[in-house]
Amino acid sequence: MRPRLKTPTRWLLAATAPLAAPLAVTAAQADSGTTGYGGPGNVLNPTAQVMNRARDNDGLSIIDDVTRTPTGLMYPVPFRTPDMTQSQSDPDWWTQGWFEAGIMGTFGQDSRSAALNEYGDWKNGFTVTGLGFSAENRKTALHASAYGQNLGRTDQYYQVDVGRYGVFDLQAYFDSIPHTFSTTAKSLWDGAGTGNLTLRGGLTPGGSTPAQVNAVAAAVGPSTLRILREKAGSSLTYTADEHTELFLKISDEQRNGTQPISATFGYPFQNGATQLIQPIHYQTVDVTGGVRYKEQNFQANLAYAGSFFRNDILDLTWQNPGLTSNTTPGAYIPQTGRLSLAPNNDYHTVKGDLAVQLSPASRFTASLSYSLMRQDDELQAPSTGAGLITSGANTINLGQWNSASALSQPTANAAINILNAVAQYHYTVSPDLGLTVEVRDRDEANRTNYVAYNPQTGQYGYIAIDGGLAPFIPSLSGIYQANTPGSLVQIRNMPFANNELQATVKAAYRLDTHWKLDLSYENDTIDHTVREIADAHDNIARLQVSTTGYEWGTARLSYEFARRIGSDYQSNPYTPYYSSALPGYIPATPAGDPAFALADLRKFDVANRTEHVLRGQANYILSPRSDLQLTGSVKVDEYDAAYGLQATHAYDVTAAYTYQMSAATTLTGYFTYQNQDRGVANINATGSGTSGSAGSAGYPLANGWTETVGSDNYTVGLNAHHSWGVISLNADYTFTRARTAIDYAFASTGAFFNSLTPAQAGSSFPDITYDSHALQTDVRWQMSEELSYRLYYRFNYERVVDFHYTGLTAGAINNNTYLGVVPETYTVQTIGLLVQYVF
Amino acid sequence: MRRAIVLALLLACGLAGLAQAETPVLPPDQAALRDEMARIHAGHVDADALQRIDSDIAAMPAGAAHMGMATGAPYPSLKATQFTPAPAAQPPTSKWTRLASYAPDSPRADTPKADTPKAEVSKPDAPKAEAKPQRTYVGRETCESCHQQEATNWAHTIHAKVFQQNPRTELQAQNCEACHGPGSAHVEDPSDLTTIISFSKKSKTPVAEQNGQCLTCHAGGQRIFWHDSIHDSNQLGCADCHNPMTTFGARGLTARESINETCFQCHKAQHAEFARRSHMPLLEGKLSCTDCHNPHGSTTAPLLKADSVNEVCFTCHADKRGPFLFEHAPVRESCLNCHSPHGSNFENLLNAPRPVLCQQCHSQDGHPGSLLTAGNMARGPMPDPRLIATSCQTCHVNIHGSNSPSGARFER
Repeated sequence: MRPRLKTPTRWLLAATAPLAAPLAVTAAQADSGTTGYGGPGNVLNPTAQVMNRARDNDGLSIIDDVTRTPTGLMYPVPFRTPDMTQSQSDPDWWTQGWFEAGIMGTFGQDSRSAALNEYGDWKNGFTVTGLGFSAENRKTALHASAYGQNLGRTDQYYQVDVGRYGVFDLQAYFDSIPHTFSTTAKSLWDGAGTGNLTLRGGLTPGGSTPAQVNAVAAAVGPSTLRILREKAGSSLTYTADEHTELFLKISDEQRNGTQPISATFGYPFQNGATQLIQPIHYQTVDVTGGVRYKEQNFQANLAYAGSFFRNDILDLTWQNPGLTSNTTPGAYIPQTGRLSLAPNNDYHTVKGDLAVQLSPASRFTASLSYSLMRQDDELQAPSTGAGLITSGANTINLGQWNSASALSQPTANAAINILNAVAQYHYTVSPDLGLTVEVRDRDEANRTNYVAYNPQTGQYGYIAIDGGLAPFIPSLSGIYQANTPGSLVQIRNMPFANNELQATVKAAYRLDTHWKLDLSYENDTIDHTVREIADAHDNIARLQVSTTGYEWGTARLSYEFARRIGSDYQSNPYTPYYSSALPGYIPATPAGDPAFALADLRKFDVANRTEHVLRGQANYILSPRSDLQLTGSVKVDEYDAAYGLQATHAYDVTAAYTYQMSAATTLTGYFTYQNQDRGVANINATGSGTSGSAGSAGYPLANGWTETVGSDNYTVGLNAHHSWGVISLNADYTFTRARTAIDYAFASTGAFFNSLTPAQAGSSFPDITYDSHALQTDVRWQMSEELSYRLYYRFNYERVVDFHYTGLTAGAINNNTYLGVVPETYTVQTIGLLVQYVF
Repeated sequence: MRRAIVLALLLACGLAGLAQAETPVLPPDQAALRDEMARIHAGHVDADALQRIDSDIAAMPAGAAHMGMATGAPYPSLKATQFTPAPAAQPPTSKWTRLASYAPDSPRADTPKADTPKAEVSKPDAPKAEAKPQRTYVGRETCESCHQQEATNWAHTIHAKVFQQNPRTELQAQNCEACHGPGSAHVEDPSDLTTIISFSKKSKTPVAEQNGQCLTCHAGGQRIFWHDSIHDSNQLGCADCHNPMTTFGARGLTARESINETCFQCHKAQHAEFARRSHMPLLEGKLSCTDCHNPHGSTTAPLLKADSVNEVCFTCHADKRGPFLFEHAPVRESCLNCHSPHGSNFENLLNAPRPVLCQQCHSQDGHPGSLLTAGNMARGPMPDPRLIATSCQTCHVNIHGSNSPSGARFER
């Protein structure tokens, strides 16, 4: 394991690293060209304002009190930004400071309101929601600022900026994001948050009973599973001259906490699954730097980005309570299990962009990048056990599989290289017609090469789920037994990768003063490595019509048709990676092995597909002070699949209305309805015969079933703002209701192994529903230029019903153990009184 | 092989462009230009303004007329017609930039001079031009004498601070007129919006020229792929997403209070999706659309900030990046095969509830193809771990990839 720096040191380095570089370097805030989050904002400040400000009743303009975007939407009423104060001692310096603090109280929080704090901190008590200071020298253009938000809370944010306007900006920030998963987890283990979970007293590794598990679960108090993401970063942007900008951006993110995870010791019918607590101790360091050059007819970018992920805990070992539905006396039951966690990895990419105006009528744009992904962690032993397992006619000595000596290589040595090239040429044929040709090539090369081979035993394979399967289903033990029929085991990694070549031709034609027509045709060729199809061709035609300039508003409409056709579908392209490729392999029967998969099923991501996408948007100016906006889309995907995902349909419509009665009074509202459905068909395999065709012995039609998933989603949003001079009210309300119905049908009880009667199985799951109401009001009293008060109120209701968790409690259910992590329903109200002072 | 094709195409494109660049330049057809301008502005301006534009064109020296058209202005740029001496070498006429908003500014932008002599008007059949006033820079104070409120709002923006405290080019030093163009004609007739470059709905400046005005300073960099991007082809103006006249938001001079609110102006469905049960923390103020997308254009159609979906996701989810010893094919190909990044009614942003999400693809001999029913719920007659809680991932937990030598089936 590669060590990482201590937290304060890391953050200090992240914050100051650009200072150590030559000054001619970095990246600006709100950089839309580089990736990564970071910025102010929290649940009390969702629009990420630096300082809470009142609206300016004078609006944007005295002349035009309502102004609109070129598309025709009204701009909102601006904020009234306090002016800076001129320094008495040095008239060139202007300063401003502010703070906002007060008391917040959230009522109704209990042990089932985890979702309330999923991404925020609604802690009761004193809070400083904002604190800051800025200064600028209007003679030298030097400036400096520092501010913080939600100080001391888990969603806090801090930023410091120093720079000279137009020349350079050095920024450092610290951002914290909580992610709460559950407040009801009841762990059977001690050691939560570490890589070793040991069973609590009263439970015996490999030998506990459901009653003992339930007793321990009942005695344990609930705990919170939560991750805290803390990111410190800095950036430096230097504008050397009007042509050249250099940037450097460094960040260091640490994620710490716990989240639910699970693992098993048995086949589904054996049960033996255990829900666990995963420790999260992640660190990611990102470095981005480069240069951007521009002149009138030539622009170029050159950048490097590196990302380095480190995990302090690379595996999770836990003691097995030992619950199982198998009743074979003396059968081996693992006492411990070990799960691999996210490996350390590095990512590097170098990218160059180029745009050249070749002539007034032609333009060439290109991009070339090369990326490397590397992961070379030490590999853990295939098993934690040490005993002997009787597995059919064979005996497995775990002692020969529980050390690194049982591996064919000590480290993963995993690598992927990616080349991405884009070239675009645009030519102006005539004043009303332009043509563009674009070519995009993306080559991925997966260099990972691992063979599951134990040099100590001379055997191929591994120990599946720490030996839990070997006594009961020898063919799934994980070890290739050379003289045993049907010992089908994966013995190599599969180096999945794609190569994609896209060629696109676009034509843009202006129909008249207002209307514009865009047409394009795209051909994609995708080569897959180790997939059911070797290559696929996607032909995509697009038509887009847009109109601007009309007094009434703007409209945009597009339609896209795509048809993907692949080469012959092979339902089992994985043979070279299984023991069946080894010399001497003996099939399960003289006729061969059972089919690997249903031959008539098509995996949707590579299946032949027909796609239609229709999108539309219209902005209608109802009156000088009101807008109506209508948007909608329809997307239909039909797969050439008798089994598997057959089709998805989705559509949405939104109506939005905005009314600016005056700068002091505004109303906005929207309603969105979205519908999605998908249909799936499958056949429950019997393991008989050798054919994979539907209707064969292995996939009898009597075992067939279908399932449909249909979702309706409704969202309503309302906002009202009114100002009575120094007092203003802002109110937001959002309602969301989502309902997903899952219906199924089956030809016979063979679809589910006769475990249930048709009456017990029914024909549908209970609906998955989500309901949310959030009402937030903010009354602001601007007592003076400097002093203001805010009375904050929020009502929040959230309810989730999900059949996956219905009736689920901590403890044992059918010889599987659960933490009791379930969706939580809550109703809370928050009241806050805040005072802001600007100086 | 394919790389060779790509390189060949790159070369071909470059050669074609160079060939185009060397094409002999034809003299402009001024009459055609006047007709074209009349057509462009029909419906936008009244008859008087139309006449003024026509006079502008008539008054233009040949070189200036060329410059205005050739360098991307959708109609003869105000600055071009008034401040640019006729160039020695005349680029070809191109009116296409009305559509493709690529508008590299003419040299005039780099050398704005209030006292630049007006270009000679030599066209004998344009008597109105003789009386036409010269457009000059009038200065910020003149603008502010009428636009006081605008000046108050603008004073807090980064543009104001750079232009007023540390202008690094002569253009920046023009303050308001750096973006809006010389204002003398506007001062003379404020009701005629054709005399000033403006950026709102009632503007008489076509969107392509509005954008070209912004790109005078902001070309390249993060906007190097702006041209022909979906936002460009939909005729969006920079001012649809930005309002440089005030500070609605903390970053980027956005047209709404935040980046997200700005995007949600048009992307209503995505706004609703972020309000669903599982979502990333956008509405909580902790992420923005631009953490994943570059609205100014990128190498991908959905305007992703990296070259692929997965490389964008790995920016924050580096733990899923691998490469792993054992990989899951649809995961390596695209995170979107299983996840809806804008929000979902199912946990973990999944596209569909489990186990059917997995059973869309898996039918192998054994248990993957079995129908799970309501009878398999936690309190049903036959509780099944394949349905309860995280369903298939109860056992196949490392579904994003496993680094365990025993993780071929993602169980370890």
